[in-house]
Amino acid sequence: MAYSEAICFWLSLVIYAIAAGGYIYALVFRNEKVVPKLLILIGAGLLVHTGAVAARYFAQGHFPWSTDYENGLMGGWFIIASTLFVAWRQKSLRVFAVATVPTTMLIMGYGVMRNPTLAPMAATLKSFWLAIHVFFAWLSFGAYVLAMAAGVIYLLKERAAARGTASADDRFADLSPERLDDLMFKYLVFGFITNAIMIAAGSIWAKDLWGAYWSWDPVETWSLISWLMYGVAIHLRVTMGWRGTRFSWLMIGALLTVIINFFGVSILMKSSVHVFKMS
Amino acid sequence: MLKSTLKYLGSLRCTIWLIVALIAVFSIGFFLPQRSVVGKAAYLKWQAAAPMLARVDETLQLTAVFTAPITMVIWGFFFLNLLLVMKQRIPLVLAKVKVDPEKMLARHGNGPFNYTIQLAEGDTEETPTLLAAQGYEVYGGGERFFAVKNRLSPLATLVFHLSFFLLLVGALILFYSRFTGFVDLAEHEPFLGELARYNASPKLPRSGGGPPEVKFLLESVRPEVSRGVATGIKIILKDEAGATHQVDINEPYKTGYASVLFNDLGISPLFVVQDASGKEIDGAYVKLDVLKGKRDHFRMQGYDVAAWYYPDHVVTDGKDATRSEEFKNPAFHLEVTRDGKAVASGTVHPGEAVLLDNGLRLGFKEQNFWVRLLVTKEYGREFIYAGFILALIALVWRLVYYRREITGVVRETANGRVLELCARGDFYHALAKDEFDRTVARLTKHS
Ligand code: HEM
Repeated sequence: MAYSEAICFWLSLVIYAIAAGGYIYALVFRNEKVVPKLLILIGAGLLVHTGAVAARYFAQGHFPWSTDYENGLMGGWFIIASTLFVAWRQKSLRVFAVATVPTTMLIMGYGVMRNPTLAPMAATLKSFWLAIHVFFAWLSFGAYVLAMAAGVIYLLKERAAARGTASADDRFADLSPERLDDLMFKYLVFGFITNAIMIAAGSIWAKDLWGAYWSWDPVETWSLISWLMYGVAIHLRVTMGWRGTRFSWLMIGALLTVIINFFGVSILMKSSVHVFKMS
Repeated sequence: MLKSTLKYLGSLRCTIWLIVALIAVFSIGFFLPQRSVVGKAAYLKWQAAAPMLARVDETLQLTAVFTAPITMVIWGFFFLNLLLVMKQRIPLVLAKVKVDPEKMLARHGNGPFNYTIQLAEGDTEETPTLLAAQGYEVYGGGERFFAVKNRLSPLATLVFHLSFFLLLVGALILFYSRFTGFVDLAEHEPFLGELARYNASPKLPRSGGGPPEVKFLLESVRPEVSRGVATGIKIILKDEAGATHQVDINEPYKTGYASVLFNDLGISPLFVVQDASGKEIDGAYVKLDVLKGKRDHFRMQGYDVAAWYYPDHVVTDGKDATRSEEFKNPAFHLEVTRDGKAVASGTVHPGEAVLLDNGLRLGFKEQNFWVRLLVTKEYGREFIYAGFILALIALVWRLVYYRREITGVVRETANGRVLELCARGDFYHALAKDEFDRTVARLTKHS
């Protein structure tokens, strides 16, 4: 990791940690007034985070998209960027950061514990289709995390309502349960479509790299599993009427499959043919 | 019994279980090492070590789960279920997109979102015009109308799900027509596509037929390695017509339905044996698998030569080593034996030689490379691409440009004329309401 990148990376993590602490405070002490200020903090965090990405880009001469650390760095960037984007479009969605910021911290923290060393871009990664593949993977990851966040807020709201305290009913007052329910589906749909593009682009890339569109490589297999998982979620909603609490848990649980896709594959399957051999 | 089974097979509950079953078998393939990944030798070793488990595996084929009978059966049911459900859905979807305004108006008042707009004198005709301006198709007049946006969107459900059949057809054609074979070629070596030139057992198409007609000369190979990472390889091929093609990682040479891909790299040095007068009595480009510290050997003039390779040679503490994986200062360490007896050893750079017995010399003249190329040929990609494209278009069409419907009826009330609007949208509730609220707000502004 270059010096400037390390500074930016750790600084952004610290900022996110403070923001996450702030959100926990806001939740526990029911003081949602601090939320807008925290959003400014997250914005500052994203700026510094962008600095880390830029520093890495200039040190290596290519976008960071290959190692676990780089996945964490860029995946985190997309999650925070999408959080800010939806909060900017609609004020009431600011609270999503309650779930998205800790998720970002986890994936960045995990990534940096793995392999942050700088490396030139392996030849396998120089491909137009790979760029499309990775870009859509990030978009879809960001959207699935937002769906999870909407699910978390839904459940928090529901729990507060179940307790029946005076202040509970108007918890996240400007976000009705119906709206959260719709939002879960909306982000799920966005994630599902971008996930489909990611898989299609990945298999076109695989054809040029390994000579076959699909070889049941662990990375391919798991990405299909997580896409199918979200396909099941869409079916459960559209054809079986799953909504609300059950759907929220589904959105939280299904994210696990994506996180496995993001990191787990390289842990579980060292033999994956995604690891290029040049003997 | 048969009837109820068929009924279940045509149900959406069955669809969900089938997708879950696919997820389950793919997960087995993910968590359980597969034969194709671990290799045959390792599998046989495991089979000998755990005969009980191996018998279970033999029956269920769990270590080749992607082609196991159980997986094929699930796929079979998946497509059967898809067919049955789509058969039921096609008439429903067609009826939905055809639009019968009277039928729609009969449901007026039952929709989830209802609005009442007070009308000023004589402005009934404005509403349909305004809705049309917002992308609605309007049927009927200002007093009684049905308006629909993205009317055809439900068709996309059919397009999306039927595109799976295109992918299936494509996958089957690929599977049965596929040829794959590896061929090792050194620089300046020609290849005329002969089956015999391929390495052991190329896979011929299951549907019959031979290898693809690919003919070229391997003109040059230039690997690029930086800080131990393969950053590229430039392989130049010359075809029969004399045109050159570059092959790189991710960048195969494609001709018709055949592709030639880079797979592996090796060193192909020119070694010569010279007599005492310096005359070359033998010489050959040998293909050695010596990268990453591996040892290989070759025979020449009755000598057995073991070779170690150092791409960026240095001597540290009197020992040969390499500074990096870059090909900056190539050298071979050679150990020559004859009939098991050591004859000579030494480290040579291009142009250097080791002295053998009888006054002979083994010279390292120049360093070339050899590459292992993967040649594939398969048909059916048009179906795969068409399937992908249609599926993606359909997803966006169905889920982003979802259908919205509004019925409008003008009524006389004690307070004058009012326009009653009743709206519904596919998939969404609160977000659809927001949109209808905005639409109605725009209409009210005008009335
Ligand atoms: C046997 C296989 C399948 C059958 C019979 C089936 C059937 C259906 C039906 C009937 C609907 C329409 C529900 C409605 O609008 O009322 C639907 C929706 C949907 N299905 Fe499937 N499906 C199958 C497999 C899949 C798979 C594998 C995926 C992707 C992972 C998928 C993704 C979707 C999506 C995204 C929708 C919502 C959009 C739409 O209505 O088209 N389906 N499915």
